[in-house]
Amino acid sequence: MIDVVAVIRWRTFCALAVAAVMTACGASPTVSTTESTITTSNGAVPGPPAGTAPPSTDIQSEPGEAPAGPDRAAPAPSDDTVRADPDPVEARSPLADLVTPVGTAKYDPNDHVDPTQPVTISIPQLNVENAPVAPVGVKEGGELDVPDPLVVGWYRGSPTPGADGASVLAAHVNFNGVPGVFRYLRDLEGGERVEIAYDDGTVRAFEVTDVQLYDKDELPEDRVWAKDGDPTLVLFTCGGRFNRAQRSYEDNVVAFAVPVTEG
Amino acid sequence: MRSIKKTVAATVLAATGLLGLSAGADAQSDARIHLIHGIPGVDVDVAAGGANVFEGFAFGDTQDLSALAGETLADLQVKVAGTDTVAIDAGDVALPASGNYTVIAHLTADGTPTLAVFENDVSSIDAGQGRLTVRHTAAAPAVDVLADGAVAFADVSNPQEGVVELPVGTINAAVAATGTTDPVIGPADLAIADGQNLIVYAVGSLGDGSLTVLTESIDGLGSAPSRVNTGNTPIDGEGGFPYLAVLLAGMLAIGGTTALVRRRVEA
Repeated sequence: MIDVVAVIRWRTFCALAVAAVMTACGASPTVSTTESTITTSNGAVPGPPAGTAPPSTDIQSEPGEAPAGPDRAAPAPSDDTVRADPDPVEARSPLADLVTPVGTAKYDPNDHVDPTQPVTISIPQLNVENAPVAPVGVKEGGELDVPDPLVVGWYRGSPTPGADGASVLAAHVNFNGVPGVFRYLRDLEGGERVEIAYDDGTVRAFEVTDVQLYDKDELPEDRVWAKDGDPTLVLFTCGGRFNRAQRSYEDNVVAFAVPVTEG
Repeated sequence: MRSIKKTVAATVLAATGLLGLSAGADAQSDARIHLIHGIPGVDVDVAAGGANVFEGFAFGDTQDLSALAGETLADLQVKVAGTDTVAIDAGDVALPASGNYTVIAHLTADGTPTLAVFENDVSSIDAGQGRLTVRHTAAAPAVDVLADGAVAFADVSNPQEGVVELPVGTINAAVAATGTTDPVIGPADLAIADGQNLIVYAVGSLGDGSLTVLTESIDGLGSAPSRVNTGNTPIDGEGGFPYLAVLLAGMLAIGGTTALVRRRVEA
């Protein structure tokens, strides 16, 4: 499957040359005055005169700053000649409020398991019974690679049916004169059932909400290709005027269905 | 680019004002900058300008620095947590003003802690495809990255990266010393998701057996199928070629002829 080597794009690592020198010696004593400003704004430096008004709390509104308190009291009396003396390790940068943790980058195998895949579809009202479903991609140029007329294609770039977002299933209305699985899709009505069976043996029922006819150039992209949001089943076929020159229909018939919640 | 020192001064002023505007608010734009801790076994504090920005940062933890886009972090230091021991003294680090980057604290090939900035490929991905980015940020010699048993990226050395686009699905990936197939990392499954750049970092050290991977992902780079064409022949009675009508006419014609012939015979 992997024709990867041909496609590889190598990049030399043109990252910022962040001079990363391992300094064996510990904290350098050369602390700039600017840094003193920082620590002051941070409330970490009580300042020489005792009884000075408490440092501004505007910046450090976080109550979680308490740990800095007890420790910083210690160095102050010893030598107050060096303004920047308070242990830099204890100082808390005002930048702290601008960075936000975003979890872990550790590899979680559960994020990489294959989702269950649909294997058959049934639509009782249309006499579609356990029609095979196969995962499909797109052809060169981006057109959905719809399988032969007796098979329904599940677009593998879309969620599995029932997962968040729009799960796209497409089948021909008519191909080379052979009626496709979705030949009568346009006749579906709200409330009618669609059942999907998955490769793990489970079956899930969906209920049609609406059936629409869209010009192929005016599909509601946010609805039919949604990557997240409420789970929706989007059943595609063709309809409307047949363009003989292009041997193609000008419209898509699209039926939408949502999972049936009751057991 | 303004130095962060100036920004801090500005923050002090703003804080006495209405909202206490954050320093990076004006530079935020649409930048996305994440910082990942990629050195196993040591918790660290990250300091800029001599003050800790965050503390107790553990292996694999990620921080969002996007609000600091365009700023220069003065005297950026990564220290062993709770101590003054500087593991990485990065000097002044200028963060890009826009774009999509990941900064990772990691080991060089010979095991020295360092900081690297990678630009992430957020160009659009064809429908039904995902992007896999592999970055060598481990204390290890050059490696091959194997996907489903075949070499996907050959001879990758620290801190190089490889990028490839693959069909949506799951691949089984492993990392082996260049020219070999015996995995030093993995094998493990990786899900290639539609429109997603999955970025995998090889981290740790071969010497002490701590080699492993970290991952991050960037979604929303995909595109939808351009068209769904589900029929190349018209349905009967809907303005297309009237197959049925022709057939009926043909049958009638044949039937009529037959009847005529019969009559003649009878006559």
